[in-house]
Amino acid sequence: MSTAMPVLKGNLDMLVLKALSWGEMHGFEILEWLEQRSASRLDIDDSAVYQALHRLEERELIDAEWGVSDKNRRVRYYRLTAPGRAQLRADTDRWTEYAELLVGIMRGSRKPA
Amino acid sequence: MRRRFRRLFRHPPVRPDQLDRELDDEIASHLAARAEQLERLGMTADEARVEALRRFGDLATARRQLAATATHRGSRTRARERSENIRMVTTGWSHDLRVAARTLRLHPTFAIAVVATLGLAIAAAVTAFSFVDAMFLRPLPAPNADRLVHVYLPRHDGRLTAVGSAGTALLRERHDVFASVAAQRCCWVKFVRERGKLDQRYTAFVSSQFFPMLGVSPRLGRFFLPEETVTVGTEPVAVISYALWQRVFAGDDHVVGEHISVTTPPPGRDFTIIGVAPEGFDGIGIGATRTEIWFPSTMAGAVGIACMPVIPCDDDGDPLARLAPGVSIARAQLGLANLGAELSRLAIGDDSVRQPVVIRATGASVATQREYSPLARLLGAIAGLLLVIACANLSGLLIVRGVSRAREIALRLSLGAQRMRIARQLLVESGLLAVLGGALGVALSLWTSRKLMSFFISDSEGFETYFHAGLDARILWFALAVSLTSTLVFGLLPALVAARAQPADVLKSGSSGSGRARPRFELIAVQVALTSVLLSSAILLSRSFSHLLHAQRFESDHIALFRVRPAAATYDTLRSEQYVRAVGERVEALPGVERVAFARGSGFTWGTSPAEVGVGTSAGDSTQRCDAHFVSPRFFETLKIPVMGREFSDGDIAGAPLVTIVDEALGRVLFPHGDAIGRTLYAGGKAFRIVGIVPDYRVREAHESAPPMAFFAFWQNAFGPERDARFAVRVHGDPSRMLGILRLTVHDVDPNVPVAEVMTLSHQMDASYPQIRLGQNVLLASGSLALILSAIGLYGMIAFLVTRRTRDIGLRIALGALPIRVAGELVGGGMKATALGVAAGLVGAWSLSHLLSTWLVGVTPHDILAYAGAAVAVIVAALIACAIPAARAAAIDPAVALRVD
Repeated sequence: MSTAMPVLKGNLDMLVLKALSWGEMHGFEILEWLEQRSASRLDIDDSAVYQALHRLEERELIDAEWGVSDKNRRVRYYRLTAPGRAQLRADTDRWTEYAELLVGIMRGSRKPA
Repeated sequence: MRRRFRRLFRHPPVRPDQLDRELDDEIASHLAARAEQLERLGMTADEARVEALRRFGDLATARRQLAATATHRGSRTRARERSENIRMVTTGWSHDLRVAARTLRLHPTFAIAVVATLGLAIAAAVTAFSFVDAMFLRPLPAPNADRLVHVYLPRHDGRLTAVGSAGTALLRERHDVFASVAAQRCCWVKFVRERGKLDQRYTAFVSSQFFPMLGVSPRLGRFFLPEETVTVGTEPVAVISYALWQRVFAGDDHVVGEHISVTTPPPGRDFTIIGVAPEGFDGIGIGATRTEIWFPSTMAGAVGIACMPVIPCDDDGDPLARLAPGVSIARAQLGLANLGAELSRLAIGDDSVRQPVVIRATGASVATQREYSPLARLLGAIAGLLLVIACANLSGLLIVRGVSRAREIALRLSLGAQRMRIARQLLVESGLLAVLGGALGVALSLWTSRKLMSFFISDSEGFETYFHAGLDARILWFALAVSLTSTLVFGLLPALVAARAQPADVLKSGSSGSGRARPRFELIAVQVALTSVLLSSAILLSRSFSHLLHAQRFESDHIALFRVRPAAATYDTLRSEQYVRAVGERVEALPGVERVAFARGSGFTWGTSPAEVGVGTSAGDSTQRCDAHFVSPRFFETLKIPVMGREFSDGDIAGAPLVTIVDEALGRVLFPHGDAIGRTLYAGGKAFRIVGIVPDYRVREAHESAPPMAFFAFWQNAFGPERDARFAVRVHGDPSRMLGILRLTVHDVDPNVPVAEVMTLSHQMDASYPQIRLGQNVLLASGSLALILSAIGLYGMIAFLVTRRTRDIGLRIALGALPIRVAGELVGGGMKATALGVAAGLVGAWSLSHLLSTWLVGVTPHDILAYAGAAVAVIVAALIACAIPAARAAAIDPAVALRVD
């Protein structure tokens, strides 16, 4: 199925953190990364990513700094803070478990405990 | 922590108006990036722009939401940064201190140079201050000493006159102004027999209020009662010092009630000891001799002190008063206004003084302060000069360092560090340097102060003076203040200048630095100028003192002195003569003694009040005044003074033809044709045949003309019987090692006769001219110090130049410049500044030299040799200081230098 899928707000935050775990990026780089990883199947307004970035920054999970991109454009670079990294680890564990649980139930391969 | 550290360097700081702009920037940047991507995928520019906007979502809503978040975040950040700012000012000092310590450890040469410079200058300042403090500022050793005052009558010529005993009584009635008024006269030498033994004692005369006013209570017995110091001559009581009690009475508790007798003047007088002063109380004569015995002020006349030519009979010294509670000095002064005329009539005899002055009693007596104020000013000026030199040096060092730090500071600034934060780090660093320098200075001053005071601890008669120059809180505060001020002013300013530089400029300029931070050769010129002033003055004073020594015309190196006073032991003429002869014989027989001579009266330095007689060339003529000295046979031989003709021999005794020896000055005046020997000189109604002529000598001050002198034979007793004698003993080797033996030997001749002034002649001469000796020593020391500081400064400057220009120099040498020329240029730069400084300094010293004229003997203030000597010394030191780093520059290997930075 190739239709675009919407992303919940909380999930987007997690994805942004995941993107930044690869290193310092500016907003558009994050979007590119998400599009590449999802084969453009996630339906995200570009502005949503920025809102996610600013939310995360306010929660001090990421840190921002103005810099110059490789295209010589003035951009705001974001990077993970230590709490952000911890948050990403927790989110990853929780989501993997949650997703596996749901997949198991839906495919019927797993009995209820 | 990391976050906070990063926040510290974030740039630029967030301001509310910036947030919107930043948000717009970020969105615009995103849209451009998205459009670019879409164009790459084949869209036209317009399509791409529209598509980018579409994908962004509802721009207006998104922007509003983003702005809300950002504002919220911004205000939180600002609040956090505010509190961080506050924390930054109040905390982290220990961190800064650790950083500062590490920075200094990484630059040991710089740290050592600064600390040493500061330490040396502070030692000088502290030493000068401790002298001024001991002499002028130190409160009397008494509780609430700030309430103790002196009252004086100011004369037209600026002198202060004491109010006298009638005036003291008048002041005592003013209960509205003074709680108490004590009469006190200090420091008279009296011969006193205690437990059968006669010795000289320093005595003071005080009224009953004296001890209670100073808050001292007797160690033993009691002090004077009010009724004991009222009627003149009726209360023969005495209080002795703790030191005397221990030394002479072995701390005997039964000393109270014992009798002591004052033997001078004859027939002497007995006193009863009524009390012992507490330990450590030696009177209040700071800078004077320690008091050993106190008598009632009303007994001064009874021991022959009340009336002397220079002291009015009713003199009560400088009365000491304690202000009544709540009365300030200003109010006391006002309160005494209507007493002025009356005090003036009582003390001076006319009412020329209307307004008495009330002065807080601190330091030494007003007379002593007056005597030493030129010296204090000299010391202060020297300390000030040294401080300026040191500060110029510091400035130079810090500018050099500032240049190398400019990059560091610029980098930190561009990373967003706050200037305040950087300033604080520099401040802590300077503070650390200041404290280290101050500590070194205080430590050094312990030694220098002791050295300084050693010029005063004993007077020319061998009495110990009461002069503390110990450390106390005030001196420590002073040191800290000087140290901090100089570091702040000369440490922080260059650093701030460096910090103000635009970061970008500095970073771009590389290690060769920006043009504004060139070496400050004017600082070197200033240092060199001040050094020249100090050095030339030092040489002037040295020449003066050596002239003084030379002018005494005798060889003082191997002479030991002592003085015997058979008259004080109340011996008659015959017994005195036998005694003096016996002493001469016994001493001459001692091993190591070469020659013995003696004379009457004043010291061998001939500084103090010799007898004056009128002489003439015919009977009855006594118009020519001259100093008269009474000397033993072989006197001139002992002191190695050349005599033309012959000197006195054992044959020149009473009954033999009267003979005399004159100095060249007297010979010239009386017999202008130069044939004095063999002629007759009339004095005291007698005729003396002139048998010899001795050279002139100069006395202590240049503007005093040398009085002519006549010498008479001791044993001819031409002007009355001779009894007391001052001995000069020429010995082999070090005379100070003979003093103990001499004392014992003389004592052994007759234990009843007091022996005094046992010292070397050199010591007596030093003690006779403490101001010149001190001035000379201080100036020489400070001149050398200044020379070293200037040399260090110059060295640092050239070395800095060499480092800065390593590339240039390397390049030039690589291009074929002669190394010697490169070195020559560097030396030339330093020497130009030096020459300028020397010229300015010598002109300054020349025009200021009249200030030294009080101390100059036999040397004019414009002595060319002194100035030339100073110039040569400074120039040689500067050459050496420049040559070392310049030689290093010449040795630079171009291949290495070009790779630097």
